[in-house]
Amino acid sequence: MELSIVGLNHRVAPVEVRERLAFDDTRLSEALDGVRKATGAAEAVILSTCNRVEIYVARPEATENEITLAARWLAGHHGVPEPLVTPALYRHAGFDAVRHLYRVTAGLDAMIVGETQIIAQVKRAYQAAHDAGHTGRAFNLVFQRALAVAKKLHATTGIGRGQVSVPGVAARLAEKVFQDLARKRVAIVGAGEIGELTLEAFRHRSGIPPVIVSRTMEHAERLAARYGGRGSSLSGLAEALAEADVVISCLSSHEFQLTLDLVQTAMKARRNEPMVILDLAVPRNVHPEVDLLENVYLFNVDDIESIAARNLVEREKDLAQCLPIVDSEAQQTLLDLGEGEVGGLVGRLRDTLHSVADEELKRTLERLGDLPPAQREEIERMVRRVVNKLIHNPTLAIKEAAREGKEAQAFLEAVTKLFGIR
Amino acid sequence: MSAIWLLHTAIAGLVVATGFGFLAVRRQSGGPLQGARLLAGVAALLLIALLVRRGITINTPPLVSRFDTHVLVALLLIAAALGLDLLRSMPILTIGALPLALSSLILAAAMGEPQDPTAPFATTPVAGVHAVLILLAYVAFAVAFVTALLFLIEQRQLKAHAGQSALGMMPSLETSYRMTLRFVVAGVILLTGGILSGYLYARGNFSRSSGWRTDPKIIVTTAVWAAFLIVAILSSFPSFKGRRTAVASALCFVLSMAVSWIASFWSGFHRY
Repeated sequence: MELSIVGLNHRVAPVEVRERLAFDDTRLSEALDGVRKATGAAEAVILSTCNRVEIYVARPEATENEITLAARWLAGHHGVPEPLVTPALYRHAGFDAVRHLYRVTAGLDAMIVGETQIIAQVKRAYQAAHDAGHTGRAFNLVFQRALAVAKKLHATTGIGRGQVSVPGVAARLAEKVFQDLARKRVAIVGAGEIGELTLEAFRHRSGIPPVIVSRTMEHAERLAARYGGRGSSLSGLAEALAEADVVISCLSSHEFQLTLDLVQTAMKARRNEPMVILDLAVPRNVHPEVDLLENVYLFNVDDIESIAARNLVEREKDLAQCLPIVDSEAQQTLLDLGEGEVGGLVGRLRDTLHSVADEELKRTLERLGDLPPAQREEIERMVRRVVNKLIHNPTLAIKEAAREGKEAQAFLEAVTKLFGIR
Repeated sequence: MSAIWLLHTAIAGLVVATGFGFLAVRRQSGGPLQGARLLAGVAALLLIALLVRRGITINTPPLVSRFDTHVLVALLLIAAALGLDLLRSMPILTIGALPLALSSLILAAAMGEPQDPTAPFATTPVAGVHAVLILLAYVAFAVAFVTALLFLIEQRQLKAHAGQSALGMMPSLETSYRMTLRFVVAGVILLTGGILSGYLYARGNFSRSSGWRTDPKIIVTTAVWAAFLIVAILSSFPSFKGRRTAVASALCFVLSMAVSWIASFWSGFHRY
């Protein structure tokens, strides 16, 4: 199975490009169907987060243009001109693709190195593809192993120190504006996972009950009850903005929810007192022109990168510890994946040869008539030994070829054809 | 040790301290910062020694010339910045105040120590209160100027979404802003006291015909008081909150210092 990945992340594409290529969770299955049709892939997984959009595909055999097809499909699916997308894309195949996935899942490629949120996001992307029937043996092995490797790295190395997360860094940014967050009211727009994580990050900083705004009142009230705040539906957004000093927006939406007019009205209501708006959503929730308003400090996910850059310097030692482990795990996964395929082939080869031997043995024993049981058993053992000895060298050669990688597919095909294995 | 030697040594100390301060901001490092604080402290001690020596020499509180005023303003500024830095952990305030204190000392050095015998400054306690309050008011405005500049720099960086490295030593935007307002208000209150005590002193010591009411220094000081009072009042208006208040505070300080310094040369009643 040939694995490849096409995608872009916060390093190569600004949020303006990423938000145009982001996938809606509710239409992910449809998108997976589309990418498989477009690339002829047997398996596919789409990972779409605030910081990256990546398409993972697996095909029985490598083709030269599958990566190009995936890139073309990505641009076409979102109605974005291909020349705008293609230069920003990175592409990996084989070992590089597996290694990339492992780095991403462990948070080594994240904006905030070592963040744990990405583990849940990869898990959700894999689960969505799996539930919709878009994963098979290859991606089941690779993604499950990626999640296991991420957990192992966080448990055994220093990469998980300090529980760094995007919401945590967002809280630090808010502290650059406000002297004491304990006296500031926080409003969360979007009661999803990021909203909850952000509330958690602000929980010990802000002493005033938060306001939680969600599309559905039920979600807002559920979270409000947990964090001792007040829930509100989107219709109460203007009111929430007027009373909040820190607004964190993380609503899944393709339209700006915090428009210039809305924020302007809120600023009038709060007598132009400073307001920090952290737009953690991709696509963005806050109109960029809001940043032009006096006393409004708007930050989006890309702005967090400046802090992340410092975090990266601090984490260099931890990264150096993790990268060799990732490389070795990726190598092992590929071997296991290859050996799995080879194992199946060897099994079928053995079955084929043994069934031929069994048929011939049965015919021979019938011709020989009544033989003492001891002699019959001896003949049967001899035939099996011969078959096993004949299989031994080809089996070793097949496994060796699989390890070497490049010639494996051709070799396996040749063996299949030579022995008539189905 | 002559007064000039003490002054030049303090200037040299402040030059190095200012260099350390900028290095600390650039490298975000604690080592140069400690160096800046230490040298600023040493410079302050030298200035105290200088003023004590001056007081002994002229046998009166050392506030009889522009030289003394500039030295005292520099000393108060360093003391205020170091005090706030240590109390509220605001190293950037020390770093920001050092160039101002240095400028004041360079002006003092340019004027030189007055050699002619000078008349005692404070003939009554009211005159002493007047001079001290006015000086403290200008120190408060100077601190407000530094915090206003910090606010403007930090706001600019936050609005530009620039890297956070330069913001590492900065207080929060809200802290800078509140300090600006508080020091402007404190300056206005001190200046009010200074003007009133000066008025009482002048009314009791000078005749109406002496023309003290039209003394350039008095007019400028009253204008400075009015300007800062307007800034303090406007800061409560929603549309004036934030950047506009900070810009106005900083501009008022620069203009008031320049005009006040120039006016002192035409003043018949003020020797400083």
